[in-house]
Amino acid sequence: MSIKNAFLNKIEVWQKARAPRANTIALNQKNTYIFPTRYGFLLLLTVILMGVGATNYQNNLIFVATFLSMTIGLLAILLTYNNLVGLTIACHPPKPAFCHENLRLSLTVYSKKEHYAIGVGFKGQNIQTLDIESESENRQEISLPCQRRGEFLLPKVQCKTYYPFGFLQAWSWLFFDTHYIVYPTPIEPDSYNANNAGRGSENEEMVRVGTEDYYGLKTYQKGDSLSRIHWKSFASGKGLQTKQFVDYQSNPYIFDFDAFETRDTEKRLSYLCYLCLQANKDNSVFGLQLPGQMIEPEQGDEHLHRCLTALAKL
Amino acid sequence: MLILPESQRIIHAPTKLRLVVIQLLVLAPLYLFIPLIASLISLAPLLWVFYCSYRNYSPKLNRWVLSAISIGAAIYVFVQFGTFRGKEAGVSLIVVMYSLKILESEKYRDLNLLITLGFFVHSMVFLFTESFFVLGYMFFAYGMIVYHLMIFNSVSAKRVSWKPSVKLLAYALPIVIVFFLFFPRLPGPLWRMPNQSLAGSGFSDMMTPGDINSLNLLDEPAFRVRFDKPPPQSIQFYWRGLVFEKFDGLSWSVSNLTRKQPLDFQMKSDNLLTYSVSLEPTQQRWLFALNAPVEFSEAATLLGDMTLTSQTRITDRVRYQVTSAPNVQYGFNLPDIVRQVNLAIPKDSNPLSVQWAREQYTRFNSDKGFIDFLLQRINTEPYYYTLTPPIMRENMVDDFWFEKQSGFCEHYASSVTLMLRAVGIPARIVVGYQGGRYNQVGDYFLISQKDAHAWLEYWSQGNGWTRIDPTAAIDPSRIDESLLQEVESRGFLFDALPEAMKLEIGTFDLLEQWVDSVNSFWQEWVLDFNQSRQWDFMSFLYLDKIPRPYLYLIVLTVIGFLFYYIARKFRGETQKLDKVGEAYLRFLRKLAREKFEKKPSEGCLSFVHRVLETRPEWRDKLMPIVRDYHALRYRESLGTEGVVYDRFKRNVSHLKLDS
Repeated sequence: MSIKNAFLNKIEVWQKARAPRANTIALNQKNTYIFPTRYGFLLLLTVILMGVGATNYQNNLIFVATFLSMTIGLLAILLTYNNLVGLTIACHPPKPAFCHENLRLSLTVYSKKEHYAIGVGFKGQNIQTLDIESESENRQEISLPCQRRGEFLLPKVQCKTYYPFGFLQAWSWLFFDTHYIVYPTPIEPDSYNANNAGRGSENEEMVRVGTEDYYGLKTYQKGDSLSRIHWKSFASGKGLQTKQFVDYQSNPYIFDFDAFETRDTEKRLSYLCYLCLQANKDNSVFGLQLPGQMIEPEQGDEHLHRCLTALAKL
Repeated sequence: MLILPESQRIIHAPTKLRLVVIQLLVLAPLYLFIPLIASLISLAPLLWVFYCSYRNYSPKLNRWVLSAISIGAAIYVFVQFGTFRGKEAGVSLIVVMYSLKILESEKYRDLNLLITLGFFVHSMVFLFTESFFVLGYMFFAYGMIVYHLMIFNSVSAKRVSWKPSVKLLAYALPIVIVFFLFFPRLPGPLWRMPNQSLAGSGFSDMMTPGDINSLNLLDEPAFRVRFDKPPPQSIQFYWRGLVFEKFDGLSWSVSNLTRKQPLDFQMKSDNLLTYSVSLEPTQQRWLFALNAPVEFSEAATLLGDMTLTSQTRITDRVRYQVTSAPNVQYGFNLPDIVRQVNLAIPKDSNPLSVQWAREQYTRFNSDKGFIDFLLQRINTEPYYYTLTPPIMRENMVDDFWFEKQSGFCEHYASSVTLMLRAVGIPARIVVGYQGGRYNQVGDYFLISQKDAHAWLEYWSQGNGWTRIDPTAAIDPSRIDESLLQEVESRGFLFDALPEAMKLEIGTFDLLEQWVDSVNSFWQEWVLDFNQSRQWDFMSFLYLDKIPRPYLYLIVLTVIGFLFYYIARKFRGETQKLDKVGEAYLRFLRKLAREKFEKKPSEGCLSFVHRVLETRPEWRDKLMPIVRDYHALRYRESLGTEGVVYDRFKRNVSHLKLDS
């Protein structure tokens, strides 16, 4: 087993050396492989059988049939290979997934010519098959079941085709230079020790950059929304000013890692994940108290992502 | 579209129908050659699938029922033929099982199995026929297989065009031809296959003239002969096949004893004829040649009766080369054993003729005079030439010579031979073919089965064996009208036919010649092609001087180039760019040199904008080109394309990007 593994490792190293990681991969001679399927071998056997028959009966027309079958088989090599080479596959940064759910990776497949029945999929997973129109972007989503939380490098994606005849398979391993994040599975906690829930001090008013209340003006910075530019001050020659809004939140939640009865880290992370999601759903301001790090309370999807990522990576 | 792993993929009804169509296409020509009942058994499951799909049933049968049907079908085949070996039995069994397989084909792997085996099953039809048209059909059937393979492997059948499969076959053809001509062949079978024989021709190794009351003149080719140089007009085409020396009173047959005797001959002149014969299969060993074969292919042996024999039975068309010396005289020294055999008359056989011959002989006292008398008698007395003679009694010669007086060459030859033997002249019957029709189109002579003939030779001191053809002595007026044309070509001993009766070569004959010519080409270059022809072909191309390994290297290279060419053709990405596109490509290349690659998803404008973000100083150089490009590509015609294009091209060529 270990020899097999060592061997497979060697192969993978070799494949990787031939296919440097990138986010846009063009399939060419270097990273494309081809091998007969069992029907290819069946055809080979058939051709040998026919050849023996033709020799034994000294029958030239059976020879013609044999050579024609053989030529079809040989041309199949070219056609199958041609059907794969020339593709350019780009990978879009995948959205994070929850553990025990599927990561959905969006691929854009592009080619100058038409391709048929191109299958893409993660190794060992279902293969999604699509036809490629020439000179247009063809999108395909593939999925990968996530078993563990964390941040991972995308495993190799197989791009494969049997077209046109199924006698051969041409494939390529796509090593994308992309990481993906798997959040912990959200689980509703049985009890949340509210006492331990590290609320911020009761009287302190949290001021967060937000959308609700007008706060004042600040100097325009690249990236500020046009709709918030204070045109009046611009007209009066004070330069570009942006209106600032804030949200007032009196009691931001701080979810604490240690606030659960269970000592199981994974469970705790799952609970925290659930709480963060709920809080975000309620548009609340929340923060995280994790061992060794603290995420200040904030609000919004980006903040949620930051929190869940922290949970994933813990 | 999600494609399941193959083992889980189910064949759906429309796919199954397509599969049945393929099976029908593959099997249809085979149905003509296997027993009707086997064909019906094979058709039944295919039609059942059709019926079920029409009725929306599942064609799936109970596993036990299916097994029972399969075993029943196998038993039928065994009962029909008494064996599973042999061509007919084997093919019938395969055909039946191949079509029954559809009933248990549920998974994709069954589909692939059936369709791949289709190549093999269909090729079996050539065990039964070598027709040009069936070969054409094969290309069609293989094309359909290929087309359906594409459909089965595609995402949606609608998107698969039939054109690539036609293209594929068209490109495959030259490769098949190269393989056919150069692929190394074995000289013979690896092992003998059972039941290989086909029905032979009507020519047999025994002759019993009295038994036959009708002779079919088959218009099938017996062999074709191509001369190295045109043969002289004077030459008479007596194609010697077998010599019958033994006579048991009823039948004439070959004497194996005398065949082994040595043969001596002496050439009068060196007027040699060299020709090649391509002989249809006879299932026998004899070969045909003009008198007297002095040089011939290695596979042939010259026997003591001046006939050629092959070392093996002629089960396929063969080609052999012979050089004949028509003026040669042979058999000066007649060994005693040969003399005995050629004088033998069974006791009490044909007493009347024997008696009569001896009486007449006394009037002449010379062999020549007696022979001329016999021929003269055939010419003047009412002797008729017919292919439907009456059946004759035990003493066939007596009956024929004095009573019936009508028959064909075998009757005349055996009568004259018997009477010569009766008076002590050694004589024997020679059978073979006589004549041959010249094919102008293909420059060869076609000898048909209907040219089969029998004549005789007699021996005389100092001259050896001399040919006599008594049939030629019959007066033309006493020849069946239907036979005139055949007999006419042989020439007559005494009278010429009236001019009016000779037929001119008409358009129809020319057409016939064309057909036979094509046939002959087909046979020569396709059906007869074998290892020795392959070597002939190589030496024709001066390839035989090259050592084998190099030769195969060359052939592989040729095939490699063909594949390369085809690969390029199929890639189809060699897009033809118009002049604007070409200039634009040059523009992109210039930018690429400065490490600005256009991404496939980018348009021209967005790409240049990206470039300008890092190199704003190029704005003045790049933007005019972009504007012109857009104008040329996307704007409605303004009548200024020429001007715009010139400017665009000039800008591109003068574009210098210094980093």
